[in-house]
Amino acid sequence: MIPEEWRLTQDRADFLFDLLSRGVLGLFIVLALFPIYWMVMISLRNPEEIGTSDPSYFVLSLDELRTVVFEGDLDLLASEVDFANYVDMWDQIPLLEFYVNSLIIAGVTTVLALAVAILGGYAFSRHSFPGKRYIGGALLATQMIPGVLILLPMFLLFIWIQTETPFKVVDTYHGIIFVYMTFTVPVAIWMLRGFFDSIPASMEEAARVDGCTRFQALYRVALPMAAPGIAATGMFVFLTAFNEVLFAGILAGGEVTPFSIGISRFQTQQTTYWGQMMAASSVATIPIIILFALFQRPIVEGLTEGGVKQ
Amino acid sequence: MSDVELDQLTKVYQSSDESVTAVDDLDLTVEDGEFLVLVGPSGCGKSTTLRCIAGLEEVTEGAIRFGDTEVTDDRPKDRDIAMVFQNYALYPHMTARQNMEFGLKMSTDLSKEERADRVDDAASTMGIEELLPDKPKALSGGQQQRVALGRAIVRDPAVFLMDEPLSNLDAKLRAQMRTELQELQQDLGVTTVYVTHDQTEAMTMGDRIAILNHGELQQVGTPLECYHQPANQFVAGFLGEPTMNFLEVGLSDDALVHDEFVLPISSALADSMGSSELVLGIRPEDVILSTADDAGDGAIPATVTVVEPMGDASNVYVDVGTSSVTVSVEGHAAVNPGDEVTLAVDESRLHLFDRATGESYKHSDVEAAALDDADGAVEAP
Repeated sequence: MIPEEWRLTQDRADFLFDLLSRGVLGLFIVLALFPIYWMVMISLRNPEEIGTSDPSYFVLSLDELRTVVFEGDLDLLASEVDFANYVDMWDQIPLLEFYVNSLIIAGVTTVLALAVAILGGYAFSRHSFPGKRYIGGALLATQMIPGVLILLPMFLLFIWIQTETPFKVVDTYHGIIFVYMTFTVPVAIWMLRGFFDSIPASMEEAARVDGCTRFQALYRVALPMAAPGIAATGMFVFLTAFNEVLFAGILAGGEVTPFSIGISRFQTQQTTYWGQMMAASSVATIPIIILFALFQRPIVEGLTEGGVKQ
Repeated sequence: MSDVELDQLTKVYQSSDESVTAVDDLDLTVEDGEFLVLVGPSGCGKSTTLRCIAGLEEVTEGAIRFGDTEVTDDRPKDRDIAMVFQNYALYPHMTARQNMEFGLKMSTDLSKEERADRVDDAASTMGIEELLPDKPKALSGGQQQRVALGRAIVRDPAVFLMDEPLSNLDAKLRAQMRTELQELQQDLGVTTVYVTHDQTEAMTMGDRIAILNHGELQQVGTPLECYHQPANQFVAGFLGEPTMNFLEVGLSDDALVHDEFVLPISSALADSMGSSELVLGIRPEDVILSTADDAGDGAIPATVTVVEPMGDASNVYVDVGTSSVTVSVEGHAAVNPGDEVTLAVDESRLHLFDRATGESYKHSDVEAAALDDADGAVEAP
C-alpha cells in the first residue's frame, strides 16, 4: 500500500504536470537563448581574452559580480566589459554599407511580396477561378524543394540573363529581391489566404452595399481587418530576406553585399575578429527586435474580435 | 422610395458537376412602403432572393426593377439600398459613428458636418447616442444590432433589405426588437424586404408575407390570409404554432373516411373536391376536445399521450389510431395521459388538400369577412 500522503491526487498530478511542462519549456528556452547570450558576451570581451583556450562563460565571475553590485565597484565592471568591438567594427570592414544593403533588400522584398500576396491571397480566399486548386497546390509545392536544389539553375539563369540580355541582374538589388520574392510570395499568399478566410464575406458585402466597389471593399474593410495577418506575414518575409545567406553569397556577394554575407569578412587570412563579428551580429538583431516590439501587439490582439456575431 | 418588382427571377448555382436552382421563376412585387417578409425553411431560396435584390448575387434569368428603373445588372453601390446582415457585419476597426458614417462617406457628397448631423439624427432615432464613440467589440449583441440598424437608416435608402437580423438575439430581446423594427419601418415608410425562417416574425411583422419552398413561391398575401386560406399543404403546415394537424382521408359518399373515424361533410363540399385522395387539415385551436363518452356522428376517438401546460393555454397531444394530433385548449386541460377522449371539428374550420399535389380544395372559413377588407388578394402560384 502506498501511504496516504504519497497518493497521487488530482491536485498533485496537476502540479507535477505543471512542473514537467515548465521544465521542458525552460530547457528549450535555454537552448534557444544561449547562442544569443554567448554572442553578446563575446562581443563585450577584450579581443585578447577571446582567443584564450579557457574562455570564461561569464563577463564577471561571481566574486566580481558581488564586488560590483554590493560595493559599487564600477571600475571593475569597466575593466571587464569592453565596448571597443562595437566601435572598431565599423572601420574594420564597410559594415554600415552592408547593413543598409540588407535593410533595402529585406524592406523592398517585404513591400513587393506583400503587395503581390495580398491580392493573390485575397483572390484565393474570395474568388473561384479555373485551376484554383492546382495553382494553389503548385504554390505550396514550391516550398517542398530545398533552396540549395534551385541554387545552381538560378545561378545559370542569372548568368544567362546577364550575358544574353541587356538586363543586369547579378549583384544588383533588383536581382536578389526578385529571388527572395520567389521564395516568399507563395508562402505569403497561403498565409494571407488563411487570414482573409477568417474575415466573414458579409463584411465586404456590407461595404459594397454601403457604396464601395469591390476593390474599395478590399482596402477599406478587408485590409484593415487583416492587418494583424499582414503584419505577421510581413515579418516572415522580412526575416527570410534579412537572414538569407545561400543565394546572397552566390548572386549578390560583390557590390550589393548584404549584412549576412559581409559579416564573414571579419574572418581574414591572418585572424578572425570574433569580438567584432559578434558585436556586428548583436547590432543586426536590433531591427528584428524593433519589428517584434511594433507588431507583437496587433498580432496577438486579434483585431477582428467583436465585429460580427456568429 | 420605390416599389420592388421581381420578374421571373431565376438563380442557378453552377458548379463543375451539378447545378442547383436556388430561386425558380419568381414573380413578386413589393409595394412602395410595404414591409414584405420572405419566409421559408432553410434552403428555400429566401436569402438568395434577397441577395439578388441587393446585387450581391448575379441573376441567372429574369429582371429586378426598383420603380421604373431596371437594376438587374447594377452594382450594389448603385442601387440605393441598405442592408442589415444576420451577423450585423459591423466594421470592427471603426467606431459606431464611423460605421454609420461610412455609407454616407462612400456614396454621397455630403460635407463632414452634414454627415455628422445625419448620424446624430439616426442615432437618436435608435437611442444609441452614447454608443457612438465605441467600437463594436465594446457593445453587447443588442447594441450592435441597433448600430447595424442605425447604419441602414442613416442612408435614407429606397429599399431596406434585412437578412434574419434578429436571429442572433436572445428570445426576450428579439420580441422587443420585433416591435421596434415594425414601428421604425412604419415611421420611415421605406419599402422593406425582410428574410426570416421564423414564422412568428413573419406573421407579426409583415404587411404581406411571401412563403418560399425549394426556390418556388408558394403563396403571397397578408399574414392572416396565408394563415387561414393557405394555398397548399406546405403553407398550411409552415404557418402556425403548434402546426396544423394533417390526417390522410378518403372521400366517399359525403363523408371523409379515415381508418379510425368517418366524418360526414355537406354534399356541396363533397362535390367541390377535385380528388378523393385527400389530406384533412385542422388547426390545433379548431379541434374540440371532449371527455364525454358520447361517440356521436363524426366524433373522433383518441387517446391522450402528453399534456403540455403553457399557462394561458395547454397543448394536448392525442393519438388517433397511429396518427398524432395536437389540440390547443384554453387554460388548464382537465385530462391526463392515457385518458380516452373524443375530438370534434366544425366543418367551417376544416382544410382539405389534394394528397398528391398538396393543392388546397377547401380552407377555413374563419374571418372571411375580415379578410375581404385586407389589402391584396390571395395569389396562388
